[in-house]
Amino acid sequence: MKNKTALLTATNDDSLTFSIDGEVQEIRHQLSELKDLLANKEIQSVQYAEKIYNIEHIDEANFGFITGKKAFNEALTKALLEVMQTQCLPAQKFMERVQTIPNWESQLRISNKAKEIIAYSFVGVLGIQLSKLMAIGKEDFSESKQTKYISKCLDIAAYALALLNFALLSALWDHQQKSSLELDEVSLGLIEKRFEHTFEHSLEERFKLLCALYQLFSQHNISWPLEELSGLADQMRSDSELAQNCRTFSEINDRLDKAQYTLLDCYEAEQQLAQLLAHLVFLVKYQMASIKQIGYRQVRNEAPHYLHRYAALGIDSKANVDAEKVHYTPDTIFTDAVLLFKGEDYQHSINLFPFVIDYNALTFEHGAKICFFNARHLEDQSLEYLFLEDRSIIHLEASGSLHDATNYNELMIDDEKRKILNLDVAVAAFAEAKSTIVQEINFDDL
Amino acid sequence: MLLRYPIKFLDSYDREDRDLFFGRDSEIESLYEMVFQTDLLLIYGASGTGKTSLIQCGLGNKFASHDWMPISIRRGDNLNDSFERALIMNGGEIAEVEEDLSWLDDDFTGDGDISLVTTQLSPLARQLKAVYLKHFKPIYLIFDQFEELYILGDTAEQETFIDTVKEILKVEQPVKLIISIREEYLGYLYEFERAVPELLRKKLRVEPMNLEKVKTVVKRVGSLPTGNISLQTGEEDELAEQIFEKIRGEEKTLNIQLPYLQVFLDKLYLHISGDEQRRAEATFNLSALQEIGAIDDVLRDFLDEQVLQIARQQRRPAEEVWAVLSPFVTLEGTKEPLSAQHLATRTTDIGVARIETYLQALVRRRILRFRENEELYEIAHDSLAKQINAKRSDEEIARLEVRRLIKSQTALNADAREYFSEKQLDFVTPYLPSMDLSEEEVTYLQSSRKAIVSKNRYYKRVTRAVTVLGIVIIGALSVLTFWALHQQHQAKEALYDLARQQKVNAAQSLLEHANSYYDLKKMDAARRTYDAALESLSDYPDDELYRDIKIKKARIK
Repeated sequence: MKNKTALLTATNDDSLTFSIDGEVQEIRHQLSELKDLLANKEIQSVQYAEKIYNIEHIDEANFGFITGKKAFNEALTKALLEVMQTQCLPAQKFMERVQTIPNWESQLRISNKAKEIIAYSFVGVLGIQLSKLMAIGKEDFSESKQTKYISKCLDIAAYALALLNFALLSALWDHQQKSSLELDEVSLGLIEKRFEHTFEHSLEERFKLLCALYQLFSQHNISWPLEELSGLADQMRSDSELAQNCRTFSEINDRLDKAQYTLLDCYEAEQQLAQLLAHLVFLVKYQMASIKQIGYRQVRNEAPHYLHRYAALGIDSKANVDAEKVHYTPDTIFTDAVLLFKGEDYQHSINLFPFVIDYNALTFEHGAKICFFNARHLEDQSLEYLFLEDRSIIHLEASGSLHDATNYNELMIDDEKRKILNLDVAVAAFAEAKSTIVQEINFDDL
Repeated sequence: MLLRYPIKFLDSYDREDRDLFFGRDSEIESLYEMVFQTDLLLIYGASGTGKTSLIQCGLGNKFASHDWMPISIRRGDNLNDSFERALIMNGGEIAEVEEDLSWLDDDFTGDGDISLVTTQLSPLARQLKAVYLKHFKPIYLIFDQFEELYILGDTAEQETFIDTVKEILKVEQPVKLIISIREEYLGYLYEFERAVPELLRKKLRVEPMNLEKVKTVVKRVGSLPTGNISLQTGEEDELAEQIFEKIRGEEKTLNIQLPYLQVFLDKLYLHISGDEQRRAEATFNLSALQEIGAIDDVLRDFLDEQVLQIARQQRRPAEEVWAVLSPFVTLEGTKEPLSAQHLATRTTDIGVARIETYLQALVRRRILRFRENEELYEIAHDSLAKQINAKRSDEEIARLEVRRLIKSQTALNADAREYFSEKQLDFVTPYLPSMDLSEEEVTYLQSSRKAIVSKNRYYKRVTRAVTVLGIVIIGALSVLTFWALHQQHQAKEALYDLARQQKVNAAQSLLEHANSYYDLKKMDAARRTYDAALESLSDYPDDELYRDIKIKKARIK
């Protein structure tokens, strides 16, 4: 049989126009009519926007997406709001309102509100990334829109798993300082790889690490940094839906790398992201903050107090000095910390430093520049941090300001030297985290 | 493949020109860093340093399209109005919501029932929210050529804008402000900074083009794979250095302005290729560069040449073209955007049709630029504005001063206005017939005249009253003086009489004493006593007693 293709030349809400062997055919905008047309013409594939689709890969769910009837992010928005409503009050109120509105996700004004709730509710950096995905979805159709959309879905999935891994590593570091747990070989290998790898972890590697850390915490009854993680037992298996999401994302990523993607991959990426975030929806209950500055005050005959200046991290975070929040309290807090916490209580939080850093806080700048540890540099083994806003890389390497005879008075008096000190502290903390977690033998102590 | 002309001519570079925007990498990086450190960023630099290009092209290209929602705002007639229009154009129109969707404006974050927080937002906050929800991109409000607010705006407009900025900095959406201003106007920001201290916290000075940057630009212009200009192999460095030397001329400054470089490179291209369409390929080389010769002021030459050509084409005097250009420049030599209608009111002696022809010709020759959205024409660059300003006659400058005088008053609220003095009115009156004044301006001038007439009448009345009062006062004073003198005279006379009486008494006493000397032996003593009595009355020789004493003294003889 001759390998023919039906060329989709025009599409609107009511009809689809095809060119088949130079002949123009117009049908109603329905999958069943398309299938009938192709069957009559003995055609297996449809070409649209320079991409060819096999009719067998098209179903009712993705049909509207390909023909432009369903917009980007519609499925994601609806799926997320449905799972968020049990965890997040705005989502619950929203869903109460739309329960009588059919296809609300297709109505621009209503879906914009839903997208706003998603962007503002998901924890710090994830909320920002989701807003970027919404922005890409709203751009005019183009080749770059498709690549950006798929890439952003992949990024969000990767950052979500990275955030959980960093929270678990941070808690494990605290645990190891007290109890010196001996790690099994598999976990040790995966954790060491995370600290030493010279390439960005793939989604599947992140998932493997998450599973290993999960097993460690559950087997040894280590306190969960995020209590909801304990409920993920079913997903921490290689045959789980979460594992499948990661595998499917990897396949999409391969097609993206080889420029073999189609609109179906955009739709698939959106579906996979919706499923992945549905498992991690408890993250809407969490917030992030960056400690910018700590002041100290002790009046005679009174207990000391501290002034915490911190920046809330999220879509609504501001870079003004005035926008920083302050808290005058007798409680201490870690310097240069990036915190993950539930509700409003940042003092009972997980300190993600040095796995997550606010580069601006370390260099005494306002505004947040949140970077995730990415990998070690291939040549000099310096630390590479990924600035999530634009995926640019920031290198951190020890300058040598920290040693046995470090004169802190000299370093503290000069802002430029303090910046170098802060960055050196991040590098040193990273090394210490690794050696404590994997229980490295320090030959100096022998 | 169609080759591209890689030289921008007096236009700023925008996002699509990333391949043509060279030599600004370090400034772009600094700017990009700063954007994450503040929500309010100030960019300043001399005219012609490329501030607008740095933002639109340099910074714009650092962002992915989904991370960059630039909204450029120029002052137009009023910065606050222009800002509102820009928001509306970008989705900030607050549409009437159907009743069954009004709940979308509610706040969903409260614990209790849905509270109506969003509807309590200010109109500006609602507009910004609408823009954000339409695009979901961080919004960058770029206030370009901000000095216009101080050159052309009034205090009320400036104060309103400051309040607007304070409000923007508080909105929940990701909104950042970038303000670009010529550095000589930095001082005008004093009040702004007092109200918004963030204003000067993060700022970037855009440096003019130095030799190194010029070298980068020239080399990149000549090596663009898709460009139609190349450099003669082996002459690259010297070409760049000589171009720099020619543009800076005898002033030997360390920097040159970007527009001068643009115009010069364009001139060199035309000299080599002769192609006005700028499609032919050209190789820049030293010998062609030498043929152009020394150029003291490329922009002035360029402007003169273009104006002359337009005048010739239209068979009109060049002065008429200059007259059309003049209103586009302020007295300070900066740009003043105008609509065609507005221009016609400023050049009433040139017909509307001919003005339109000139405008099209000036746009074609890239002296003017047409801003479609606002339907305004403006000089392509401040550097050209300076040249036009320098060309003005004293008469033209006076006419502009008159216009500014009138505008400065009519821009104020009626309560705050001061009428022209007689001297000011005498100055402006000769220019008024050639000006197309608004109704408000005419009313203001009439009111000024009435105020002067009324004031003059008042002065006359006051003068008359003062004169009468003066006469009365002088009369009263005369009477008083006369009375005082009279009193003084009387007192003097009384004193005189008293003194005379004392002398007479003394003489009388001496006379009685002298009369007692009957003995002849004592005649000498009597004579001396008479002499003493006479001496006592010497001031009053007309006194009767004096005569008696004299007679008695004579009898003794």
